Amino acid sequence: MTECSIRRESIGSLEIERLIQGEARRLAEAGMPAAEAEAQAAAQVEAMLAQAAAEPISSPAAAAPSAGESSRSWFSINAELVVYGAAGPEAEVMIGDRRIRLRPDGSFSYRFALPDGVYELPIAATGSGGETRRVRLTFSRSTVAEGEVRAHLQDPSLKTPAPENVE
Amino acid sequence: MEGYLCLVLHAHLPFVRHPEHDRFLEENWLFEAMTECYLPLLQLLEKWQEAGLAARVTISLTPTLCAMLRDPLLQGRYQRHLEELIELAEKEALRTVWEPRLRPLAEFYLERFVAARETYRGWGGDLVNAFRHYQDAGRIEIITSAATHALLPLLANHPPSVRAQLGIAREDYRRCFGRDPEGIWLPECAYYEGLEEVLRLAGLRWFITETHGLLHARPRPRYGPFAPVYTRAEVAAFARDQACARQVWSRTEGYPGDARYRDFYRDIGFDLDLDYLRPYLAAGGIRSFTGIKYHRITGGTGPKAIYERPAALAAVNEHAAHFLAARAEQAWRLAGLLDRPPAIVAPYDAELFGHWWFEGPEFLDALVRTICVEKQTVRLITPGDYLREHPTNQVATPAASSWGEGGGWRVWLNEKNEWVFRQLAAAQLRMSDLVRRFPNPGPLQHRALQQAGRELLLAQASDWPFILHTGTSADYARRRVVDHLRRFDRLERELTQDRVDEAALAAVEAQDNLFPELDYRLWE
Repeated sequence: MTECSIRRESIGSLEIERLIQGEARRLAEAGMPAAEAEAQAAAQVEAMLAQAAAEPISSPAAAAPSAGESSRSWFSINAELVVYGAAGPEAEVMIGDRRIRLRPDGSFSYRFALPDGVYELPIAATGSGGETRRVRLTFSRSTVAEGEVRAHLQDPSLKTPAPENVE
Repeated sequence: MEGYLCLVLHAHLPFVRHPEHDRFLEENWLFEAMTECYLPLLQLLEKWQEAGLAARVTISLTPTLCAMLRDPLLQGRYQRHLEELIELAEKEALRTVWEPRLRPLAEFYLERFVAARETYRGWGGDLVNAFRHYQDAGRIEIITSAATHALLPLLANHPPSVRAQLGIAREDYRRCFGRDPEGIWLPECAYYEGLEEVLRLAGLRWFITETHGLLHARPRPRYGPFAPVYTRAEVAAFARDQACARQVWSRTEGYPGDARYRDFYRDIGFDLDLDYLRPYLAAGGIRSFTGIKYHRITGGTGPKAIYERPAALAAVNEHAAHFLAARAEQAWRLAGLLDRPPAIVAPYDAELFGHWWFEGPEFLDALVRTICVEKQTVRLITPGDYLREHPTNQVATPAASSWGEGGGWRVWLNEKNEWVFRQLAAAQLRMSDLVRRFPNPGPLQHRALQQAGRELLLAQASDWPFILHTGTSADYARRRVVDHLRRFDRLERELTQDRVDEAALAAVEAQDNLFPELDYRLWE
């Protein structure tokens, strides 16, 4: 199974995909000639059908990354830092204002996105006896770029499915 | 009150369960739908119940979906999936500590996933029982569907197969919900003339067709799609309202495409370092959707903007108000034409709400609350309730129809997938032969006959020809059809040669384990 085919199937909202891509055409084909309508109510619905057929219908997918992106040269760079350490297995470790999960052996490892700037990271570990140890880490990053450089990786092949793949 | 609104949410996933693998990518279809759709829907039902809102909505839970939701193996795997998702969200809440626009979103997802876990645990992991609770409390009406979501018109030339799909669905509904189903969601809204007789025999009272199923009915229904008709079998047919459909799917009017809503495709599974993500990816470390998405649709071709929850919720309120105003106008325009308030039937895939359209559950909430509070425009009603209030309806025979492209069956029967139906046609006849050949089977033969029925049912799912048609994940769909038909072949061969391999049978029973009390005699 290819990566591409796996990626395209998220959940089985198959009818949804079909509706997204096929609604306009289907509505047009399913519409009735107005002359055949006996009831006014039915005629009214046919007008709605005709109106629907006259306009394109799509989903949020319409705003997804364009197919053309994959053929364009591009470059992205990001920086993250890893803070790792260990404490007694009964310890409570706080990074900033959030208590973190420790592995069964008391170790931990967390990543931090590091945009340009200067940052402080307070970390505290409180042992089972109540004693608290603290550290304060300081980091900085500055970026000088030449040419167009993106900040995100976003796979350029992730895009709206081509109509031939959903109809 | 100027009209009735029948809000119908059709929840369906094909039976995907692979105990032979520790992790299986396609099982994530279920897990994502549970986190993003079914659990938020249950949370809504709880809130509506607490608020005392008369939010009568109709929910179809297909037998395959119910089988998966009640399966202990998949329940355990979902718990693992959810725990991993929560762990990833916790890491995100830390990773984004210096990204002030992302961090609130990371914490939002963390809270949401934790709330999903609370709801899941609160129901003991049994979502079928949760939905049953709300039906028993009179909050919702749950309807069934064909046993494995087979496209019934393509089985019409073998009536025992249609009988089996419907009869097994009815029995499964009884087992899940402790009562008989009244309504049925016809898979893909697909109807053929004569189906109503089989529906009647299965004890079903109503179904929904695509709009043109009623518009082309004979005689032409006086009220078009705005009132049901009774078929000659006394089973009622309601029609989907096109305006309601269009307001969700149209590019110009459709709500989910609003630039303020969350983008479906931009997911950290494709943005962040693979080493960081790998423990949380579905299978084989291949990049895939995680469910954590920080961007909004934005519009245009430029970079995606960061998602802003308050703006998205403002859009939800605008769209709910617009939807309701459109129903009011519809009802007003129809007022002089009908001798009763129109029944506006708005069916949607349940998975639309929360998965594709992330804010869908909030839209439903805003819509239902407005309807229940202002009480003037429309009243929420289920088709079953409508028939009790308006038992007199025109008699007509709907036209063959589906909600698929072209309004017929060509999505499920074309050059890409017609081989499935040739194989099914042969297997279906052989299944009926088997039933005739074994009027008094021994215990092992009985089990083999039941399993042959399960394999045939699973091969009949409309999902496989659809996937083959679209070409996405076609390998998986092809494999599923072939696997089930091969298992059917082997069971048939072993039965006819009187040498059923009990160990092999037990292995297949453990794998394709739905419909434990399947009555194979329905294929007679």
